[in-house]
Amino acid sequence: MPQVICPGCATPAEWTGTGTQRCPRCEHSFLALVAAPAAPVPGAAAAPAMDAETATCFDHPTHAAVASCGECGRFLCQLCDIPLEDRHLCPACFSQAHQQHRLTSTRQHDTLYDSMAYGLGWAWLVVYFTWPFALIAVGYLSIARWNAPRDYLVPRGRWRYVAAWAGLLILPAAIFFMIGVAAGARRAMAR
Amino acid sequence: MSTRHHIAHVRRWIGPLDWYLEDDHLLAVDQRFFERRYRRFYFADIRSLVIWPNQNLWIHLGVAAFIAFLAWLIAFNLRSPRAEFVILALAALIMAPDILLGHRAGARIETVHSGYRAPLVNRWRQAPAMLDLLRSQLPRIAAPEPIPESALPPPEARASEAG
Repeated sequence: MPQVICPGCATPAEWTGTGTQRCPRCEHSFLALVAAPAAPVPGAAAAPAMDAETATCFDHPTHAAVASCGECGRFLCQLCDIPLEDRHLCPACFSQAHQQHRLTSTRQHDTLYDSMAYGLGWAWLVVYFTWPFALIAVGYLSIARWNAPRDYLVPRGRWRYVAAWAGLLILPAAIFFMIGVAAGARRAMAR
Repeated sequence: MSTRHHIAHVRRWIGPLDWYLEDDHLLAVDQRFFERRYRRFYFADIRSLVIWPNQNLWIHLGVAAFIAFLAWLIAFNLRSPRAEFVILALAALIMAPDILLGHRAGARIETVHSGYRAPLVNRWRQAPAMLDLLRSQLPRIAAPEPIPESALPPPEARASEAG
């Protein structure tokens, strides 16, 4: 019987497979899904046999090639082949692409520049005299990182940049509005 | 190109946690303030997935009730029955849906490498549907890694083992 770790007492509990489970020790209820243990499958593809016309691996001339690198085009054996994002890479190209952050499937984190701009665009309302700094920061982020939201692993729209500018322009708009109202009132009083 | 389906959006104080179902793995997009961290759980690596009801509902209700009590205390000292009524009605309006939706849920994914504890669904009542969804994916993809025929014992030895 497969076992799962009880979330209540952290001891192994038997998994019966259906419905809500209850830990026999702590009575904590939980739902679980346990993957079937891996078993060998006979008859799977073996390494290709070598003959005179078989392409060989660039790094291992005694190994038959199974793919070619999507970056440098070198032939790769099963040992060198790194299948990734619907293409194959050799270890050198994989390492280079990973260092240059070009592989989405190995990306670990993204910095949300659009959320930063959005926060700065409105946070100045709390501390009003930081408005010029917020203006500079949002301007920089909007220009330098305009494409960032599209490049995130899970892409999103650029509306936060627009919303940041909406927040930043409230103060100037309010000042101009008040100046206009005051000028209008003065003109009306003069008449 | 792999397909990506958004299967869950969990709300938290520090930022949302989104779950995506991809061709061969489950992707957790953990957003904390201005950073997103990605974790991938390959179906072949997943050993178990546990979801349980936790006590976060009572914490949320306790915080809401405390704030409502402070607001009511101010209204009470001001001797304003109308303000008291409005505050209590607002508190009930905020807390009732939370109670009706039921317990919140915690989750843990155990892989061959490590364990990861993070909510997979917002509410305990959503857990069966989520597990059904993942159950339909896991057997299809968590097929055992094929082992070359050359690595297996000869057919006669296998037949004798089976016999």
